[in-house]
Amino acid sequence: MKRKKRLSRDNQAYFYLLPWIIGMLVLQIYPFITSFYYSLTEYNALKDPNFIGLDNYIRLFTRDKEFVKSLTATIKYSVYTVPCKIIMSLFIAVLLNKGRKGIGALRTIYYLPSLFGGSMAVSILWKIMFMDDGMINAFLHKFGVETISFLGNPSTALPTLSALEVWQFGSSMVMFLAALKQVPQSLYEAAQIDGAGPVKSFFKITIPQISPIIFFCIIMQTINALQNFTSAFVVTQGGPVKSTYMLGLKLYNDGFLFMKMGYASATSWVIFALVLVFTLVLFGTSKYWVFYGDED
Amino acid sequence: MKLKKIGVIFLSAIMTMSLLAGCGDTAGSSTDSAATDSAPAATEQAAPAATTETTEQTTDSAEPVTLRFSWWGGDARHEATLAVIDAYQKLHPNVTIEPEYSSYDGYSEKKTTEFASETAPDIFQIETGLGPEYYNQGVLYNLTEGGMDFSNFDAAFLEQNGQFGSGSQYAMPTGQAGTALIVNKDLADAVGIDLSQQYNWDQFFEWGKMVREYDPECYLLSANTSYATAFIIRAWCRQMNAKPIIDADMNLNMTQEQFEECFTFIKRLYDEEVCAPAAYKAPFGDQDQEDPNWIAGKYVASIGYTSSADVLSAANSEITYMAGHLPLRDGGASDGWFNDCPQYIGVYAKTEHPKEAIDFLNFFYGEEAAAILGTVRSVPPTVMAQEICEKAGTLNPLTKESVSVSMLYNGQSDGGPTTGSEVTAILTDAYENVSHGTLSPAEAAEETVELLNDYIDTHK
Repeated sequence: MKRKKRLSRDNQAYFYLLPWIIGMLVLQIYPFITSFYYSLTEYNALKDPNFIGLDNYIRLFTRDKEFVKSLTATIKYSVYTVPCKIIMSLFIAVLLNKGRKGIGALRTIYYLPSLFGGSMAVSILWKIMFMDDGMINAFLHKFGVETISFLGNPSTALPTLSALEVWQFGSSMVMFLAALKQVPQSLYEAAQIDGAGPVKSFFKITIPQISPIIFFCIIMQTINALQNFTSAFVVTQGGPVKSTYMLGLKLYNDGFLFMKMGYASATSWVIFALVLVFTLVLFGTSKYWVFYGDED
Repeated sequence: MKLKKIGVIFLSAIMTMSLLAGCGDTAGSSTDSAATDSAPAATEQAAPAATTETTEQTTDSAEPVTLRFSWWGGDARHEATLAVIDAYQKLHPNVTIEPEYSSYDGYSEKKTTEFASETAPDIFQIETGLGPEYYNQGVLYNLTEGGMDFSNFDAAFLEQNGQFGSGSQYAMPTGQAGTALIVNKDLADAVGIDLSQQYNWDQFFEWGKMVREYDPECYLLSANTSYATAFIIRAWCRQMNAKPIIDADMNLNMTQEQFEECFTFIKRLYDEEVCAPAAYKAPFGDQDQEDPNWIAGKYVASIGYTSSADVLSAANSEITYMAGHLPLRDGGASDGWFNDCPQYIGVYAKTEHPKEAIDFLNFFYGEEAAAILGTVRSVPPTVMAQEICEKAGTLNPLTKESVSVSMLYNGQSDGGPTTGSEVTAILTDAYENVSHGTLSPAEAAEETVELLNDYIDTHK
């Protein structure tokens, strides 16, 4: 009887999960599998795909100079963005973790940019702010700084896009805040008795205690950064001189502008492999610095 | 804690997998869209085949019909086009036309996905350079077979615009247009530059120097990468060889030496401060009218098209503008400049209502619509519409003047592979690299020829 009841409860759960499962199958798994097939074809979305084996991959790695530029821009972007975002969000989370007056309002304010996500509106706003005659340059002029062509100069365009991503640190911050609340107060008290200062306590207690969340945030932010599209598309269109031509944007142009869907599919699988490698490397290093609390 | 590990692994897997969803199948159903064939020659037969197939599905005119019409443009074009739709719907209460309008950003990409998923609008505006590409893809309806009324059009103009060598009309030109140099006459006069006379390319350097000496904040040319690529590189080949960079038979007609010479010229334009710095212009894209220096009248001329004359002149109504002549090459094989159309309007090959779509187009090119549309798509393509606009005072004098200037020349359009999206991207990249100084003219020429040959190899 009990078993029957449990089965019925299980069925209920599956029923509630069904929309998600269908969505996952139709919108994720099916395109996931077909995109691999298309990556082995010459396919312009209007004609039947023509199987060409590994030609698209060979071309990507041996003949496509743009791919190298895109790969470089994407990795640089991730290297600029992920550490800055993690440090920024952790720093703000630590500040907001103190029980001061008005802290609730501050938490909301800091989280607001993340609510907009990678939206077009934020990207357009960023573009306007960083134009030669935009708000940032107007502010810098007050201190006698000459106009900086943030978006027109290949050396500053990528850091400017990275700053947009770093600015949206709210989701990591919220996770860090939750993790900080979980750290037992007794550990700090014991450390204080042993003569540890706030800095030492932070590095010896706080960081190890919240290391699983740091690890999780690094992985999520790395995956996000490697898939960047919106800001590069809206703010710079990949320019100037391909300095912000992320792999996501290259994939889009190859697929939807040049109608090379097979080639774009191959690019997407390379991005997938890249994300996988980064993730596996991070997992590999995690045993040295992530403290789960169940280790001996 | 193991649960945490599993959670992290699971979420990571979902995140990475979602990346691949974007390149998925849109065309399980598009397999039969191969009314097209791989070779362009074959598509000439395939496209009319689509006509026959869809004509059978034509509905009776009394039945309610919904058509979708998409275009890009600015507010003035949107308002005028909506007014034409409204006027047509009043005359045909059974027809509902759903407008889909936007700016040009992402317009062509959207069309690509719509063609792939067979959800393209019944009627749509087409970027001139992409017309031949769409024709080859078999997505355009044969308007000649569909009974379009061409009586108001000049036959030679239609042959050059929208037939793509097929002998049938697959797209309707929306107006008369060409490359234009929109001149700030006040500044040009003050500096002592006369762009109403014919001149050669080298004259730019002398004039550029004069402008910088007159006012260090001013430049001779406002040149955005997109328009300047067409203005200089494509025209260079037409003037030098009287042929497009890549012709319809997929021959590369511009040599590496010619590219290097052209890129050296471009480099000089920036080194000698004839053009405003590339880094300054980059954030504006092709929206030159938004450049505060253009608004403030700090450029003598802006490189553009006749269709952009009205927006460029509207940026500052206190300045007197004129249409400048276009530069020539001494001893060139052709003057290279030509008059074509600013955009096309076509009917989707798989529309369910070709008869109604063509009926709407006949109205769109008729007298009533001409009075409403004015010059929102450059100078109208028919004499009848031009006369109506003239009488109504809606013909922008600067647009008319710039079209007249473009008609002084006898070059041949390079519409075809040269104006396709991939070749355009290769040429634009080269221009950008040279103008920003990231590649030398020799390096850029070598890379461009390599990429163009690669393109030809894969498309032959």
